[in-house]
Amino acid sequence: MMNTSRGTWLTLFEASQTTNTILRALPPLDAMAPAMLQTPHKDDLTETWAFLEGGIDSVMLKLEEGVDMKTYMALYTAVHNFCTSQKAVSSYHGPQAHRGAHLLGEELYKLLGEYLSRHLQVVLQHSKGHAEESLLGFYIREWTRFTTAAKYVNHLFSYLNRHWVKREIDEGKKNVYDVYTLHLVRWKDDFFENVHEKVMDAVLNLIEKQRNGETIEQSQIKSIVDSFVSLGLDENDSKRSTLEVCRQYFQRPFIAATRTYYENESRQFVAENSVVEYMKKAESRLDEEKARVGLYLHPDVAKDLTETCLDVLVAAHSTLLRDEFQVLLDNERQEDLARMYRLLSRISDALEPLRSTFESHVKRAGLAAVAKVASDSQNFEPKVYVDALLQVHTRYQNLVNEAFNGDSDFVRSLDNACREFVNRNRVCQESSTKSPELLARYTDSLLKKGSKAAEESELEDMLVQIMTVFKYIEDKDVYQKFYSKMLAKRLVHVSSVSDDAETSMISKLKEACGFEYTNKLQRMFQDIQISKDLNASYKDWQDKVLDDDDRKRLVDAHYQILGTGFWPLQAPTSDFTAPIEINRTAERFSKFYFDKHNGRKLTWLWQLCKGEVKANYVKNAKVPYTFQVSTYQMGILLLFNEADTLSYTDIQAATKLVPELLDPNLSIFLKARVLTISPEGAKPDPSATFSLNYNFKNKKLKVNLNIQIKSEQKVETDDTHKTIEEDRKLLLQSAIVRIMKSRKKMRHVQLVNEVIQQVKSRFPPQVSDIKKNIEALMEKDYIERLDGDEISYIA
Amino acid sequence: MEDNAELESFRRQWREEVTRRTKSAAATSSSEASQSAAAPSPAVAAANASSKLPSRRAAGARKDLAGESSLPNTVATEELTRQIERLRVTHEHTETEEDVFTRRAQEEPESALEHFERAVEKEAAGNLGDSLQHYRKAYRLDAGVDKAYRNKHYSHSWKKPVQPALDDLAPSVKETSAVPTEEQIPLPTAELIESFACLPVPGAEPLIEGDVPPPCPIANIPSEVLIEVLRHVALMDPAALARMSLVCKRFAYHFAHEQSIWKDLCQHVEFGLQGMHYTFACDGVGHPLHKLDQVEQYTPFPVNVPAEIPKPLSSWSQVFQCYPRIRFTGIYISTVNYSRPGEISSFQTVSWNSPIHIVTYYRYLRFYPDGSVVSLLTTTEPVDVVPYISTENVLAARPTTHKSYPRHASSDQGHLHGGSTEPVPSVAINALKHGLRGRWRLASPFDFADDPEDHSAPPSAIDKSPSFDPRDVIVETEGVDPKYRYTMHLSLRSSSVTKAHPNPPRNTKLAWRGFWSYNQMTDDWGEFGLRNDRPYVFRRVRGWGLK
Amino acid sequence: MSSQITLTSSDGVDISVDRTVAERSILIKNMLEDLGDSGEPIPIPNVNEAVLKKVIEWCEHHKNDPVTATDDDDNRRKTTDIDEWDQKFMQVDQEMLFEIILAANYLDIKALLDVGCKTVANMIKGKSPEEIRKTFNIQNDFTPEEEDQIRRENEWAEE
Repeated sequence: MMNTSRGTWLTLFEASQTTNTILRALPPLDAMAPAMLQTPHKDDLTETWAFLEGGIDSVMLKLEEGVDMKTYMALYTAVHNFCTSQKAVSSYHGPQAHRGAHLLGEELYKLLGEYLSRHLQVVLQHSKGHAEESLLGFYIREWTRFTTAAKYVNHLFSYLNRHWVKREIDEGKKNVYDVYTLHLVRWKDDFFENVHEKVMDAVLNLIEKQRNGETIEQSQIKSIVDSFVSLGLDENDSKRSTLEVCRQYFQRPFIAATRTYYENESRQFVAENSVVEYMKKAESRLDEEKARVGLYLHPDVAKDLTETCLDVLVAAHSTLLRDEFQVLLDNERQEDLARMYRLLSRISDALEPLRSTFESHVKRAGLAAVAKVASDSQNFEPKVYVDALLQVHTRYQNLVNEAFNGDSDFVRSLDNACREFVNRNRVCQESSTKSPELLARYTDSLLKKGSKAAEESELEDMLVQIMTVFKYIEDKDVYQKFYSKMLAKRLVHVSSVSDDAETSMISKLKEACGFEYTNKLQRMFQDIQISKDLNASYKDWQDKVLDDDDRKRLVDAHYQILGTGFWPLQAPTSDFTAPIEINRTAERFSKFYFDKHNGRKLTWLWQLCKGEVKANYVKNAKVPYTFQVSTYQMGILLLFNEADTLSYTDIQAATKLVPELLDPNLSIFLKARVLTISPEGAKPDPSATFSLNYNFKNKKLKVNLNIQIKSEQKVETDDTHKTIEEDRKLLLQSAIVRIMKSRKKMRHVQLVNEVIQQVKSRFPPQVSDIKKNIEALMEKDYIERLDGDEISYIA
Repeated sequence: MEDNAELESFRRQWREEVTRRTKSAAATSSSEASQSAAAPSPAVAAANASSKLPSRRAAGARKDLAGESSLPNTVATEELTRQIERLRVTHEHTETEEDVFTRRAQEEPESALEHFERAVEKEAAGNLGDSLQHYRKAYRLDAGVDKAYRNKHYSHSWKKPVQPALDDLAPSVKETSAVPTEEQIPLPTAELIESFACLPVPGAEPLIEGDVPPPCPIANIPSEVLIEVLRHVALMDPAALARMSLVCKRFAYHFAHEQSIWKDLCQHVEFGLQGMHYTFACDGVGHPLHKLDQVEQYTPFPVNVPAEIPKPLSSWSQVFQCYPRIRFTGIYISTVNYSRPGEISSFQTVSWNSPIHIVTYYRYLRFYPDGSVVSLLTTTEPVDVVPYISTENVLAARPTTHKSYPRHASSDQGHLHGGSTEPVPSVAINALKHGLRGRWRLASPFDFADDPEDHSAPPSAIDKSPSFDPRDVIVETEGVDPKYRYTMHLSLRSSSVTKAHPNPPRNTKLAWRGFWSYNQMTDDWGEFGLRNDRPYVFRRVRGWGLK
Repeated sequence: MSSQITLTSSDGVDISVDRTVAERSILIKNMLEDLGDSGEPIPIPNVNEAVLKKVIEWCEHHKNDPVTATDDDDNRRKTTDIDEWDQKFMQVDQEMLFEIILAANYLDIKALLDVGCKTVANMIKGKSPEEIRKTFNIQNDFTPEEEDQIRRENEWAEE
């Protein structure tokens, strides 16, 4: 440090010789040296100061020539001796010759301060010959020289610091500092105050050059910053420092210059470039400024600087940026969207407009996807529909995660949009329950044997996807209805793809909607398990009870006992006289069952029973054909054991089946050519007769005749919808009663709101429906209307 | 004749002066209070320190005054009541200080001047007979008494007024200047001390005139070093610093002016306020409490926080004087005399003289810096027992818990020591058997702020003294029976100011506020009557509380 | 760093001493920091040989003491004790005692200054004013009235 500053220092010294009018006439240093060895008379202030001044001069002006120990000790001793002298002749204290109890030092302190002011006057004069970078160099050199000297002088005057200064500070005197700090205070008041503007101009010019891409000497600015920081003195506590000087004289103009610079730059850049280009520019500028703090600024400025840059570079252009958002969305410019998010997320309140744009964009995309499905084909598969929904969701969920940093507000917007297009799209136009129905059907198609998802893990993934859509479904009760219907069928017909997949799905639903939602589904599962055990014990029972005769005529059968309340199944819609063989078997089982469970009632769900019969009668068949048939069909076929030909009325009388069931089943037999009709080509009606076809032929040995009748399916769906309406009514009424029972009295509006709160997890209730049900309950005298708007519970 | 005429005119002047003063004193309490407000008192200081917690009494006083005051409530009532409250506290302090009160009532004039003053007073009050007696006595003692009187009371009219620089004075100076006691003071004390500022430490004269004076190296050290010496002296024993102030003028100057020493003392643990406890630091028998949470205990001037002199005090020496402070360097003694009729022999129905017993007993309290205390009630005189009062000796003097093997005092002697190796006399041991261990604390500004369920204070005590008085001291000790505990409420008071002692030590007395026993089995409080009990007075004991 | 440096007393005697020992003096420490060790003797213009040797003896003995914090206020509060070695060390005639104190003050050796001041304080603490005067050969410069006035003024502090 000393070496590098030598050359320039010499120039100063020469210069100061020329401006000697301001300086005291200095005796040549050589002449002074011998005098130094003798310390001045300790009681004489003038003599003491003259001696000290010479010493300080050599420290301040030619330190690089070195100070020898003798001089150093002599200077310290002079200060010490003066401060400890018992008699001080001084102009300050008037005639009182003895210093007595007072601590001495004030005079030295004052003279030192005055000396520093004079020195800094000279420095100030010289500074006028410099400008810009040369001024910075000058400032730094002088600052380094001055503070280095200050350290020395502080040590030389340490006796003053230890006693007089300490006492003054302890007694709360203002404007007394330790000697080092005194240097800083003088520098600030006598030099800094006069040059800081010019210095800052130079600094700001340098920084602007750097912003313009030029290489600058950064260390210069760093030195200036350090100097400004050092000058921050706490007025109340000289041991502490503040950043006030730095803030006021450096940061304020720096921030202002930064603002102007980027205002101009961004205005020009935006005019000449695309928004995407501008965002890149802004981002790199922000990074640059952040790096600048680390390179040569005080960390304290970081916050202000960043805020200013964001204000000028982002906030000022936020409308422009936002307008570009839709374009970027349309073109799926994920990287640019991410950049825009990064920029706008750093200023306040800038993201909200993006979110609403995003929300409506996703909604539009969802609606469009559904519309495409609907228009591509009238009878689309549920899978196609669900896939369309999922695809939109997946695409934008990725966008949220990748470009919007998983921002929870964007996640919310995505959810809002999905809920909209899942529940209110073109497919749902007729009925909002279409979505849950299709989803339930799609679920069924996955869980039923023969689904395309071969791999178990693949199936699990698809179930997870179903849950994604399920989350957005508003009519969750509809899904439940369809789901349980189809589950019942899978269980009764043993057509589930696997128990694991079934339980996995139920536990997912339970997780999403709670225990109540899946309670019945779980009970259905239990019934199947219990039935398995029951069949086993039935077999044991049979082994014990049956005689040989019975055993010969035994029908190999499996029974399922389904609890009435839990299964979405109805008793048969038609009377039916089961064939004698079946009947005997059924009665035997009933006997066994009632022995076990006294007082229960069993209703045979014939319409769901099925079995196999062997056609031993067929000619030309080496191995007899096996027909897979429903119990109704079995009832019809077994009649032909007694006669080859039977009239329609015979059959109806024997089976007691209503024509709605009898006719379609006969048609199936005719179509399969198991039976023939007479007159030939006729439809089954009371005038027709039916004969067994001995010449039956089929490629397969096992022939499935148990085909579901079209009309049944339609009826079933309608029934389901009907039961949903019924269930909703019950749900609403029970909610109303529950609320009123606990509250006793309530205003109408309040009640409606409360009901909505309670049931909305199942379906979105219509206010008119709630009102209707309130009326209904009033009629049933559960509740009554009081004066005004109030409703009261009737106990 | 001429003299008499002059005297008469002075008397007339004085009468006017007296009536004017009594009138103004009777007219408003505030003008009187404002006079005494200038005199700083610990009550004011502490009330200030805890200004956010107005005491119940203060609140009550505020209400009373607001009721009396005819001022419209709208005029800055808040500010006004605060001022009044402050004045009121000061006012009460000086007025209820029983020492001051008793002094005024009982002190008999001694010197000629005092008789003369009393005579003027009686005359002004219209009691001419008494007045005449005092005049006679005064003139008998000193024929020129009227001149002395004139010099004292009217000198200001012809002498240049010398108003002492109040801020640099110890507080008593202001009090005494209000109640004139000095006869002839060439310079007020403060100015006198100020005049010492520029003096050297004078070396002794040679023993034989003309010889080389003996070396006085202490005169050569600079003030900053001398002050360090004084500081060390003060921290070893503040009383030693007081003696040092009488060595020479230079030392007296430093004693009065070296605030940093007084500040150090205030923050000192052994003698200063840092050693005071505002919450109990011990358990019931004086064993240190081991608190899990090292919560910063309250102290008025924490070391690591910049300390300010609390208004209206103006110097650290005043703080050291005025702030309630328990001394560890001696014993507090309460001496009680009472008489009771002696027994009359049953067979002698008529007697000339029924005997009267005069009983004297003593209560002793020795405080320890760790928060423990020893309390002793005995008829044994101080000279026989005081040097031996200590926690260790009280424990050692106790008979062991095995009642079947009572230990004689003589056998305990080997264990008891009176500070040195000399054995404790049996008279002391017998007294110390009744010593009770306990704990002490000063009233804390937080006493009434929280924890009303605190069982450390009997409910009746709170009822009786609902206000926070920083001078209050709470002492809890064992009871005579293990199921009891005793609680003493004491309050620090100062010795009375007299002519001979214008500036006596402060807070060296402990006046009674209440005395209760607490039954630990039944959770009952019982109050002891304090009919005979006199305040405790502090006496230094050699070697106590010093290193 | 156990390099030797040389101190020159006011009466011109060179004394060689470990740099670490000498740096107990903040004055010497600062100077060596500022100027570096040039090898030339360091003049100590205010301390004569006898006193300087005494001070060095003390520094030698205390060279391994932890360097106390910059502010010694806490230390001072903590203890008024003087350790045994220091007590012995301070058993010198009064003129020497004050010379050591002055030297410690000059050389900025706070711990030594403290020991010195404590020693003087110990000489004062149990004594009456007259005994103090005798001990230090101080002249009573009060008039009797003044003395009485001051006694009454300061009476509050006598407990």
